[in-house]
Amino acid sequence: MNNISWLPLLLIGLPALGGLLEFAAGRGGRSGRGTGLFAVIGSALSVLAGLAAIPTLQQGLKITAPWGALVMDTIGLAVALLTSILGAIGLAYARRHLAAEVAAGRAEARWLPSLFGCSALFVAFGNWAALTDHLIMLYVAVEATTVATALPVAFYRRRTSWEAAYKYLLLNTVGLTVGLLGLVFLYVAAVPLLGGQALSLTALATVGAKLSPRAAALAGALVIMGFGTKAALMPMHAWLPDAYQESPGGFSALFSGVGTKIAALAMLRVLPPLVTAAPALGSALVAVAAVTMLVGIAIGFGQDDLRRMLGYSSVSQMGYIAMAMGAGGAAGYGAAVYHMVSHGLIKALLFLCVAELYQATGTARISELPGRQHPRWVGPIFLLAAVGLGGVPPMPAFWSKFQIFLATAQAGHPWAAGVAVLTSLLTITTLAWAGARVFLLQSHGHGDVHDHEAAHGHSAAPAVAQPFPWLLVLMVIVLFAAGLVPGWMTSFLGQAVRHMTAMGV
Amino acid sequence: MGDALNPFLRSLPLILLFTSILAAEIRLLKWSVTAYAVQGLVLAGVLAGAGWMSENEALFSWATTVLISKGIILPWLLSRYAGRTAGAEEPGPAFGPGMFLASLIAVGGFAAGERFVPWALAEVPGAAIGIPAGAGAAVGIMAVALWTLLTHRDTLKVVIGICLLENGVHLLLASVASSIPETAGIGIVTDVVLSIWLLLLVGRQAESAAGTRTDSVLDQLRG
Repeated sequence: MNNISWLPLLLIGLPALGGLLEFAAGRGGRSGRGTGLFAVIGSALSVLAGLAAIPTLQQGLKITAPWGALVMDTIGLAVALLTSILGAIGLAYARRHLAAEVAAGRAEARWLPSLFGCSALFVAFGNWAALTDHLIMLYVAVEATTVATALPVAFYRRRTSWEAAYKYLLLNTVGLTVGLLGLVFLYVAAVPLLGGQALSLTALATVGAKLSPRAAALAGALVIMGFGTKAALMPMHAWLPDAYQESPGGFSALFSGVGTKIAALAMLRVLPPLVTAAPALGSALVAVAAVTMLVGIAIGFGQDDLRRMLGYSSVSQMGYIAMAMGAGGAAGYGAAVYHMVSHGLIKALLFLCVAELYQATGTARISELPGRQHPRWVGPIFLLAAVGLGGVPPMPAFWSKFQIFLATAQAGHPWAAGVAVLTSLLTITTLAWAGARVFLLQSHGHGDVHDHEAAHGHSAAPAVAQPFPWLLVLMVIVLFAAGLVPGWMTSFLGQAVRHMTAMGV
Repeated sequence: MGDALNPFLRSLPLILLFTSILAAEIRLLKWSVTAYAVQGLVLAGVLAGAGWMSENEALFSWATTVLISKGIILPWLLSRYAGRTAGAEEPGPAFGPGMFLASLIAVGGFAAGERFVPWALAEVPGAAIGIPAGAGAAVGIMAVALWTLLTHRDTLKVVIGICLLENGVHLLLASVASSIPETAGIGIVTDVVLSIWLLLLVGRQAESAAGTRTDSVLDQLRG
């Protein structure tokens, strides 16, 4: 049963309006104290719109926009809320952080309006992708998130920034074009079964058992290759570490928390019927996921730049989400969405910590950070998030990973579950080791901040009194909230998953 | 009249293949962009012709979208970039074996598309290739596009490679799924145009920062 409401439209429209107002207010590169406020308010209001939808969805209903193109289920709402929450917190943080970056001479104020405008549009497009019920609009929305984030990635306008943005756009444009082909083949395979309804994701979820296995296999392979590029599955992951390294603080929290999840959600929307028709797709996805998670964290271990290391960690974590999708069934799909939420929140928190370090010291290199002055609360929060990402309770990643282990083993891939457990241990080792080197060790004489400035053209922000880190504390509260109520989360997400599986997938 | 035009319309997909080879391999950027523009116009002609032959009105809408986006807007954006950039020619040998290899790949892609796409859709009731030789031409163009992306290091040529890929996908889309509403097609094309515009913008800035259009020097981010 569906409930008709304006809430889905508000989730998209409010951040979009915030973004457009940022562009309008910042015409000609004008930037002032209010820059970024519209983007933050738009995202924050969309959080409220999302929260308002929870009671209805808890009753087992879906919410449909007045003309039906948008359908909100619990999975879509979870990802949309994640996007909006990280939009509000990440961009609020970016306002303060980037003002300091401008003051330190590392960034130009005239690019701030476009950064906040694009970021708010990214939130809007991400929510659109989470809520659309239209097969082709799903591609359009995911591609739009790529377009919206290219200029923010290049915010610093350095040679490396343009390099990262170029690779990001290039690989994802090619990847998503391949993914579009997959969607088209799914549509062609479904037309004889659904007629005019073959573009509806809700309708497509019902026909898995009746699709042509050959066409489904082709469509599924193209979807995995295409949207897998945006989701940073190996070997199509190369854009991600570069883009994360170059992204400005605050935006990087939003981007790292949500960017890849949108593509993963798109895969989750279309893969279940395809895997039902061509089960080999599920096994192939599990294999790709195992390689992604293990190789991702192994490469991450060797990184010296914290942002790059977190980038490879994200590649690895996307392997968990893909593995859960490959395992399939209600358990697998539910675990995949739960891990999207838990990883998105934890990774955003880690990137906020790194932004604090960068602002205080002018570097994010692990080898250069020991002994540098930075806010004393950054270390404990970073280490808390680091072990949480590894799967230590009561952080939400413990529950989501535990569900992934079980779902994968029960789906007949115990070896893959073993790889996932091993990767968790490596994740804790990698992040805790990096945290220990940065926060617990003394300087090894790598030179002081001024040497680094001379070498890289960077400088630490002017010494200012550090305000209370209420945004980071807010993130920690959200994180614990997601981890302390695993039963509620599983039950909430399970409503949409059970609906999917009950419909014949 | 229709019968007399049929052979001509059936030959158009081959012109698409030929223009993609030229767009990929001509070193003089102005002519490379011109070849791409011609492909956009021919692609619009193919879709309109197929719509006329099969009395499928949806293909006329597709043709209009293609004409505006791939026959006018994208070539204009590419030519602006080519006009402003430092070198009018792509670095490297003028006529290496690239043209020959690209031709082989185009022909191989055409043959593979003509066999593989109908095979993949054989179990789907009612599925048909709506444009004569459309699937083969589409896969051939996509093969040339991938060749361009993998072998060319000039940023403008790489963007032309992506444009070719989009043309191939658009042709395949119209060939097998012309019943997709045009609003969806407009959404796709809008995204494509914005992506290409941004790629050109970012590529131009990368060129300014690195001092060259060769993307192999964009290698400062490693590890």
